[in-house]
Amino acid sequence: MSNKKKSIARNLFLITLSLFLFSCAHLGFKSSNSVADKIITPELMKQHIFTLASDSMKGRNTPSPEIDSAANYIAGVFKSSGLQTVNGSYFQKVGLGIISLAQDNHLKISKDGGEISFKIKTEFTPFDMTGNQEVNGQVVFVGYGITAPDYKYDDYKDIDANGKIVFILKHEPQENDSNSVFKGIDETEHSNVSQKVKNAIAHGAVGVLIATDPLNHTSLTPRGFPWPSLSKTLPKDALPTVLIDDEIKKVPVVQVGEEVIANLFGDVDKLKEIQSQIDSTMQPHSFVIENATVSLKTSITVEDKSSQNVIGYLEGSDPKLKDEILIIGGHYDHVGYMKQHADTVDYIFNGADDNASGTSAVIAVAQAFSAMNQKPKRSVLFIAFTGEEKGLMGSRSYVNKPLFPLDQTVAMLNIDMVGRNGIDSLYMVSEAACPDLAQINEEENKEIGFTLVDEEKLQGGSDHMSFQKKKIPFLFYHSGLHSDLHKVSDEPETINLEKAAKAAQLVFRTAWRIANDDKKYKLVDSKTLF
Amino acid sequence: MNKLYSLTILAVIAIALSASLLFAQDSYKLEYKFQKGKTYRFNHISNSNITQEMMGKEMKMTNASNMTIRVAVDDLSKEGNIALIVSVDSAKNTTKSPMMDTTMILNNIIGKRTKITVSKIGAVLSREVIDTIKNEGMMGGGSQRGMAQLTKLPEREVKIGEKWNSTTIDTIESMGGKIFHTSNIEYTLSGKEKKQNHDCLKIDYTATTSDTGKMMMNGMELFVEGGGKVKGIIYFDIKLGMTVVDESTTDNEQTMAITGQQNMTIPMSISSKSTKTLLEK
Repeated sequence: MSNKKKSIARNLFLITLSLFLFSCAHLGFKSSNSVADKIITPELMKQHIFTLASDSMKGRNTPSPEIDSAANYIAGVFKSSGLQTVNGSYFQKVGLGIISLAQDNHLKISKDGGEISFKIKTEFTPFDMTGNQEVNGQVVFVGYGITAPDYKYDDYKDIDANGKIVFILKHEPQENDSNSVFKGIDETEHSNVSQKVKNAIAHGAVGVLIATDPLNHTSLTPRGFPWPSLSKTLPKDALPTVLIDDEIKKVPVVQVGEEVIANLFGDVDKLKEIQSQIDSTMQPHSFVIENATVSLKTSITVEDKSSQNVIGYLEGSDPKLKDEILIIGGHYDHVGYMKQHADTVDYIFNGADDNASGTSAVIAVAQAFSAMNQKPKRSVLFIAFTGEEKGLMGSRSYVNKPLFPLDQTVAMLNIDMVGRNGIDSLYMVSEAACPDLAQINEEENKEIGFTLVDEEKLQGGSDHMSFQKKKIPFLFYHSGLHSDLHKVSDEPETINLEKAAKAAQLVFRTAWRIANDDKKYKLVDSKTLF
Repeated sequence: MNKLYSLTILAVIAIALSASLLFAQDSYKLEYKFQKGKTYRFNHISNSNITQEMMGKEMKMTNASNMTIRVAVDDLSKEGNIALIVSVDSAKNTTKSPMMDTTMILNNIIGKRTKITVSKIGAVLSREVIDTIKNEGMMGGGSQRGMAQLTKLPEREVKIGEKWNSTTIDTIESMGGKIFHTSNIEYTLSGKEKKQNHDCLKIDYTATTSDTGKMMMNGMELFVEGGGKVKGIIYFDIKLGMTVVDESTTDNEQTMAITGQQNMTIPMSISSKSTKTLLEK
């Protein structure tokens, strides 16, 4: 044969081989989808949803004996499906607690041979993010405490805050200027107190004093956090449950009022002048406050309220790709029940849609994965998250202490509320952020037939946010809000089981494609909304 | 030449000073001069930046509202007391938050009337809600009260530089509970200025406010605590007997605390700028 003929023959062979392999793969997917469709049925969804949202679960509050019962149920299904444990358990502890202000707090300024002690609440108040320690040292004024390369602005430029207590103004430069470098009059995330504290710690600060910026604000009250112990109105019971296993370094952080400003700067007008200079030049005016040292101590107590994520593991079959992880998750907690109620009324927030429906979808997809004759190439981690209603606690805890490296975590599929509203449509939040995953999902949806509605504004409220913050591509499945949300009327009988099953089938198909893929996906938009 | 110029400047300064001295010695009796049967309309624009901390996360929102308030003079008594019917002709509210952006026409408050009777200096003598606003939630009639606020003028004659005070305690019944709102306002007659083609007296004011209260929501107890500072300027046309413009900035810090099936402490900081302007037509 001539070279030309050889070349044609080789090409024809390659095309035929490609077509054969494609059709085999397609048949493989078709076959897995058909098995999954037989497993993920409305009846299976009913079984899980009616169990998780039953009155005996009392609304699965975090923490509670009832959420532990729900956790045991989920772990039981994972076990019976043949999913493996990680580190010998289906449970991952999520350290939660209620932080209260303890008695021993002080703020003292030493200057000119004397020492001034300030009063808590009226002259300084600790924030809830404060650390449990005492620090002493010089104070460095660092303007607004912002390092924002995106706006070419850095208050820490040419100043050493390492080992120092920093003094920071709230808000951001040119706050009331619609032409401000910082997004006009809309405040950016750089103005968040938590962001400023993180930045201070990153620059080595050992303590943080924060004051309301006096140029644009009239009230310089040192509110800090509104601790019930410092209030006549606010009850102790209202203190929120917070994540206490955050691996973020903590230092004493307090808000200070006019008295402290006057002691450090001479008077409030002097601070206004400095602020005015920063605003007009957009250059840092940071400096060490000479001839004064500060002693700062904040004390907190923590009441343990820990809970647990439930995790099942399916190891991948490909020797190389099995080190890569796909996470399929949804939160299994809800908001509990009314503590004050009449005996004759319904008082349980069953949370059938929010999120027994999503949890059931996770479990059902796990059962379908386990039932396949062939394992996926990549490993899959199924996670039922706790404490979502308390502030994404379970997922935040997971990304802080992942069981598998996050840089090997290729995608996260979050399922939160998939059992209500019209059967024909499903909200997706991801098209802009994760176009690769969205495309796979859309392709797989062709046989399912949902009208997929891209709803970017929904992205602030569920567990995928914790993964998004860690730059992990995600898909978020959601069937939309409704009037029964967080009400006693979110009952299992209101769930559209056909729709919940259909959503779970779509999740399976997309997950199966991802788990058998070898591509890495992009997270285009990592914008943080909270 | 330079000496002549300096002398001229000095003369001008001297004249200005003597004029202001004379002006400062004038005293003014400030009174509302509502005319029976007449309807006054005010445009109230407010823009707020709100930072809310919930479940360990800070969330930023902006709110812009634009209302046209109608004040119809219902009656004038022999003693000079004024009965006013206050309502809203239009109300638009735009909120931008990470969760959603919404623009709403507040149809539920449009046309809802409140009758207030005030003295000539704006002291509220009685208040009667004629049309109740439904579904106002936590506001609990607060918006009806808010739109019917008049500046409290001094009882005595005042000169430039003189101050007077006003203290109000308002109770808003809402969601099975009550919120107590207290405000202490200090007014200063600070000068004279032309505004909106009106010859106006300029009144600076500062106020401190506080709120405390408790309500019920879905079986949960909701506590409110907070306070703030207000700084503003009122331009009052003494001949017309009417506020022409009222500009203010407010810094308010509130806490909402919830107990029950959910426990939350939600600190909020609200910075607002408001302008209320008398509409001429």
